[in-house]
Amino acid sequence: MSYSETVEQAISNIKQQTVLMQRSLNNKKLMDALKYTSTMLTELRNPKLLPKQYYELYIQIFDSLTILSAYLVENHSNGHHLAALYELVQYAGNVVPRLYLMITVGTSYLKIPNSPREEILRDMIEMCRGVQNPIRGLFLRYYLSQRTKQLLLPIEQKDSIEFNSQFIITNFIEMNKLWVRLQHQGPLRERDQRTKERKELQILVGSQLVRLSQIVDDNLTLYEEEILPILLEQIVQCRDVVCQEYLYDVICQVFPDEFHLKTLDALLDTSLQLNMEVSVTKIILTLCERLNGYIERIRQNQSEDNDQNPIKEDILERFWKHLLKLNDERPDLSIQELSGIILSIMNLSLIWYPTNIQNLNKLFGLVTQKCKDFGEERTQDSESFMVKLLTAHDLDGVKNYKKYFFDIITQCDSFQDLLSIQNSLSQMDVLTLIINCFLGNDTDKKSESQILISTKTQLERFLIILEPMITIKTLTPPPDKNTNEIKEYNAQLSREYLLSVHQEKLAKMCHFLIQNIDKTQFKTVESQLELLLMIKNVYHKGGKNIRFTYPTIVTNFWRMIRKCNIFKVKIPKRKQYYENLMKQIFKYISRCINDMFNNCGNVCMDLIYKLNLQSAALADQLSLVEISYDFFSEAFSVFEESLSDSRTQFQALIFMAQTLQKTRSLYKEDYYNQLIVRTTLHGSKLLKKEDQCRAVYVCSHLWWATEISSIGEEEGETTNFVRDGKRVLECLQRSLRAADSRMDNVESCELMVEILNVCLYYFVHGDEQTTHVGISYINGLIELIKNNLKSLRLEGEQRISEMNVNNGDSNNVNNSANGSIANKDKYVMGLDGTYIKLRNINNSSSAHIDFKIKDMNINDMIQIPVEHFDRTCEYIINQRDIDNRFKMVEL
Amino acid sequence: MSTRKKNILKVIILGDSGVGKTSLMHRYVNDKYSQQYKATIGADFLTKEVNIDSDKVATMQVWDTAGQERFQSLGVAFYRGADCCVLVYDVTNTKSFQNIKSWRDEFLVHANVSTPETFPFVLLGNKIDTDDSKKVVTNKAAQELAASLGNIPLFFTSAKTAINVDTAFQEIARSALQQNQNDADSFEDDFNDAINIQLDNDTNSCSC
Repeated sequence: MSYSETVEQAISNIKQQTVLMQRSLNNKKLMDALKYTSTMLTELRNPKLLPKQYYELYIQIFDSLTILSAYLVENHSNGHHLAALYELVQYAGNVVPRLYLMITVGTSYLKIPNSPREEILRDMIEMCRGVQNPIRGLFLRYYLSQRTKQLLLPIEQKDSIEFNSQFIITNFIEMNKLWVRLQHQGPLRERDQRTKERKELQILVGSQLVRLSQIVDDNLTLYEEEILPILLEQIVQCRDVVCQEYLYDVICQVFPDEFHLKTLDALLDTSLQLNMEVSVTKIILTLCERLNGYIERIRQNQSEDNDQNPIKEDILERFWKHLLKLNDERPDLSIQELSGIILSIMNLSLIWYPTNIQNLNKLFGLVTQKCKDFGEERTQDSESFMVKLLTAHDLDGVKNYKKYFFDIITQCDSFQDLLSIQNSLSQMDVLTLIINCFLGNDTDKKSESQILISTKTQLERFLIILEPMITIKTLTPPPDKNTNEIKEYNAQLSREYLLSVHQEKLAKMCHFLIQNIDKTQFKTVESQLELLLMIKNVYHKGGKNIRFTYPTIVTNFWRMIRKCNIFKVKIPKRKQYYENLMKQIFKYISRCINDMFNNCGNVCMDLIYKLNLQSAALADQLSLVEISYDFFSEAFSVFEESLSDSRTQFQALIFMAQTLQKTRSLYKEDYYNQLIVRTTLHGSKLLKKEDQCRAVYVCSHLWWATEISSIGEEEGETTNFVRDGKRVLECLQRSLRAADSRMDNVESCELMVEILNVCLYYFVHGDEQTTHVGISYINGLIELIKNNLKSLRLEGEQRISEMNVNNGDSNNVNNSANGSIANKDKYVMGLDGTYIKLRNINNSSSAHIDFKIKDMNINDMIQIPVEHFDRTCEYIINQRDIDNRFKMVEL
Repeated sequence: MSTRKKNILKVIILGDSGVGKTSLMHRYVNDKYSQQYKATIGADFLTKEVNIDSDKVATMQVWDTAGQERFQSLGVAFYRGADCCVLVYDVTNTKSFQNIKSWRDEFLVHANVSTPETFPFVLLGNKIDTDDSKKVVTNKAAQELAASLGNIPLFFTSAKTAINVDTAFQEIARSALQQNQNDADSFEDDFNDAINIQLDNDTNSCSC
């Protein structure tokens, strides 16, 4: 008898033989049935079958043999005595079919009461030695194990558990040998193929351990003293990587987890004796996960009020000792592997002992030592592992990352040590992740997630952790071989960008730290101020970087000053104290601004100017006259010495005017007058005429203070502020001169319309005697504008007729003639002289802002002052309804 | 046709890792339950003699399978010849419920059943004994799923406290027996003619 060529043929042959077998059984022809069975079993002798194919045929045959077995049991008493049959099948010609038949008959016999069970079982397992081909042997022994499953010695029988476990262990040992031997069969070049086949066959071996686990049930003594030692011995002795990794995994998975807790030492110690190529990481991970599952299940079943750990043993201590041993005996272990193991143990610690941070400290310490031992030899790969380790990447033991990082930072010295020896790229990765976590939204509002800084030491530790990010100069991106200029330029840009991103995080972190100060520990403003100064001093180490971070510090100083003011008002007897404190804080601010000035040079003059002005405004609001004046004068010196760009100068002056206009305390001395005269003078000396014009008409408001309702000023009631119409008019005159002398006609007209608007403002806000801006002045101005617009239009028409001659295209002519109407784009001019292009797209308008629009049509440009004037006229006409004076304005 | 012998019914239990497949089988076959969690490797079965509708007897082979794919390295050839497939999810685990459909599809792809439309499935929502607060799969969702899978029977069970386990397996046995008989009939029908010639030859050559 021989086997089929292909699997398909084999399958159909087995089907046929099964039908024939069933027929024979129906006709009570057992011998025929056995013959057909034997024929189908021949298929299992095919040496070319791959494991999965073999399994398919095996399953099919298993089902057929089940039918045969049922018949045998039923007919045992009708002439087919199973003992005789057991002898009979021994005569089958080939060893594989013979043994399958023998096991089928033997196990059927086992179902008969009073059969010699022990004898049959011993005989069957002994006979299985006859097949030494790995695949066939493995499946045969798997068959033996499946068939005997419910038929081993009954539990009531004496020593049955010992016998049964011995039976399975013997089978397991033999299967393991066959399985390992498969690796060494065939030519060396097929080694990978062998490994693949072995990995497929592994469940046959693993299933034996499942059977053992069922026999052992909850008998820990049996497991600990008899079974586990044998299993571990087998695992160690075979020296085979695939086997060792797999069986460790299976032992962890199939035996109860409380067993592992009791036999942890044996499991850990044995893992040291494994083949060097075995992944220790994987083994520890599996074990840790199993133990984690255990504790979580126990906690779930525990009553809720009992928070105690139900397990007394310190399992972490055991893992720790193991780790030290491992580190000792296996100096070859790479950082990746070690950090993988440590990550698993960290998770274990977090789940078993959530409050014990010192465990983690020890673990970080060990990695730090290992990193130092390896020195510079670390690879890029190991860096990424370090980042994972330092950020506790994806650990289910971390229930709340904010809380976790807070604990780690404030309690783990070794965490900081480990972070400090990483390269700056990794440090930035870790810190970015940590800061993002702190700045992220709180999803659960439970009190335990609330992080409070309650001691100075905690803040110190935070700042130490952040230091690498504070002091970083530029980030060195990974070297690129074909660097050219453009790439170098781009790299430079991205470095700048990265720097600003990191520094922005630091700035936000400062807010975070200040907001999370434990107010019960730091009750007074002074004590909180101390913490802020600590942050400031560390951030100061950033050198040029402070231009990104100091504004936040200054902002927090402002906030504290306002707090002081509240207390000053609330507690009159401490008035002097708070006043002094405020003065003190203003000095700190001044120091900060000076630091920025000294460290950053010209890069942030604009920023320094603005910080001075805002501090001045704050001091003014708190009636700290001298301080306010000092900041204003600082702002002026920055303006005079360092702001050289004409556009920045213009903006700076407008900002100055806005700030000054709202001040009140400076009236007391002559400070206000000094400052506004100086501002206006600067305005009139700006480089461009149009800037002069606008700056000066804005400055005219400095002589015409308006009521600020938030400080209680009311229109008509309040009189004690600066209003000097003569000066206002002087400003407007100066403005008009500048507008008139502007050579660009369009801009000149536009500026005049703007001045007209300012005039109307004063006209509305006061009578002629006080503002000195009267009807005749306005009418004169309107007259001037009209004349100018007329000549402007003339210029425009001339241009169009020129274009017509040149072009001759009638369509184009029409378009251009009706330019402003047909063209959808509309232009206006901003108050800083920018052109703003308004686009109407489906009723939603979008604006494009530019200083000069190159391809702008002259007619479009003319339309700017024309339309602005039209709008102004419309306003005047509307005003006539409510204010009779407007009727005298001649349009 | 000869008188029918005792039938062997093959039942496959499928579902995610940890939903309680092994526990359900043990509760049904041995009426035992263990708190311990042990993974299953490959496929493992237990047999039980069953009475169906008080007049039929059959041997039920209950195949418990590994929910974790890595413990199924030889493939799932044992799906073949199944008479009923039991899909189990954990009422406290949404993922296990969402995966039910893919378990069913996986079964149909590999089991090679003759008529997938009528093949019997039974849906079990296990761990029904747990606190209501921990249950995340609603009964309504389960009923909708059962309906969408072709109105298959649905039971809420607990292997731990033995709720509904026997009732469910009675239904499983009934469905399996029905399927087994349908299959056997159609099998005999298309096999008879094809095989006769060979059968004759065989008897001839062997009659010596």
